[in-house]
Amino acid sequence: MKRVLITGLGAVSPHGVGAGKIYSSVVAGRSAIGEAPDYIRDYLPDAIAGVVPDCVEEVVKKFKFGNHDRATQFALIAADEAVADADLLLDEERVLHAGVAVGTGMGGAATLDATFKRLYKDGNSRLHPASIARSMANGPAAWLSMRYGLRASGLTYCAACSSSAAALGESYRLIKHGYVDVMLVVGTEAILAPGPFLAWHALHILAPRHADGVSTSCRPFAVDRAGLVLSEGAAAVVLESADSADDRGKQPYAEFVGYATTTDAHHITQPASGGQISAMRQSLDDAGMSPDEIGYINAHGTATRTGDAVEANSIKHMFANCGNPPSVSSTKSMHGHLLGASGALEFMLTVFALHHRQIPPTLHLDEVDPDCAGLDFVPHQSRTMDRLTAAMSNSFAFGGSNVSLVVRDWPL
Amino acid sequence: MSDTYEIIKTHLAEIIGVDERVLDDDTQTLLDIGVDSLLMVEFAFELEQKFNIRIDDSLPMEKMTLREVCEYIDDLLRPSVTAGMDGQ
Repeated sequence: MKRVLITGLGAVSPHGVGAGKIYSSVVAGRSAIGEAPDYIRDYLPDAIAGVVPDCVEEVVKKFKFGNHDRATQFALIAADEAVADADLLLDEERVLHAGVAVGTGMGGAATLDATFKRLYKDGNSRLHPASIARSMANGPAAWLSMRYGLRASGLTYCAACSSSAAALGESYRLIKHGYVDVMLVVGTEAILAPGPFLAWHALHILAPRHADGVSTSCRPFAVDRAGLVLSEGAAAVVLESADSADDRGKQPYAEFVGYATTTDAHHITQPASGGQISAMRQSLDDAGMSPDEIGYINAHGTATRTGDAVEANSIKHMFANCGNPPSVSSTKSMHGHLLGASGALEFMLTVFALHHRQIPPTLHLDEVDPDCAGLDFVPHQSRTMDRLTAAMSNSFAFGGSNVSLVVRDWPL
Repeated sequence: MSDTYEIIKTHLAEIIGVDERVLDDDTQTLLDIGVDSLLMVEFAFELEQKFNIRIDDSLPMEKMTLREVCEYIDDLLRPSVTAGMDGQ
């Protein structure tokens, strides 16, 4: 079995462009939740969202990404940063053993939305010929493979909010079992278009704007939480075998040591504790670790009434016998829910937290919901944890797809 | 050289990422200069939007030079004789 290391990180999110910048913002407890774009508020005047700031347009122009769907643009921006961060030399030999995996929940939803608007609203049946190429869910993976010449596995994982967590886990296994040396893993999502947004709104699980201000509207585990906030962006992670990193003297951020995925077989939207507990337990088994060794969990924590309560109880059950239970936070309180991209973004934040020994807070947690109580949720402010040596990132999705990922210090 | 030609040349050079001077060779078809099948339909669509015209789906653009495409578009843009007579 190969050991798997994390050697490159990149991201674009409502906090801006740049993995380090995003982590700093989250650790500083800055919320990036704001007003939804005007073209959504035309339909829902009070809509709120986590919107990638306009500065991304400069990057799109610089790299001539303008002809892509927004989800592909995000993926390319995040991946460029991660590949540069990893100092990867992708020569002719290496690309044969390097692949790409993408996780996305709704693929090119914005392109499809624009296409259908042209047809049904504008009455124009002459549709853009690139509509399919731009909107197909595996478009980002295809463009990433072409950009870097990656010739090994190139798959796209679609498992709602667990999509990119699954992409990370499956890529970890590919390296661990020796099928590839390097994987570029990207989670990307761009669903802030009228059709997709209103479809989510129809589910009655989106948070209304909070009286304390729009930026405080996503309140995971709080007694007054009222739903999730839709968001957009991408995160990219370079995974590499320890042999590969050693050969070129690359120091990793951390070691990727555990992964498990389970399915609830229960309900299309309602979570179930049993599947979540199994995912966490199996990921620890895979890592060869005991629950006591986990110091921090980046929770799925979307701020829905049911989801948070079920997850909190799953974590409590899983870590019930720990002398020193892990700290738990939901960074969605600051960046919102990036759906298929959330797993990769939160994994990245978990890796940074481990690397810097500084865990991000759960913002706006003035009063913990009694249904979630019994865990240390790191309210309001980040926390320094000098003895943090291992952490977990959970993604528990619609459809009952559960993924737990475990990372550990890499010996210096 | 018509305005149409200059506009389209600049646009096509941007789409396929080549220097505009490459497109001045009158012996090269669009296929010869690297416009693949997907780029071809995208290019036709962009021309329709830009000039508010409808290009015949059966037009073999891949076998045409840029100048021939421009002449085709100029023909579409030229007011018809009938329209001119109606205006008198």
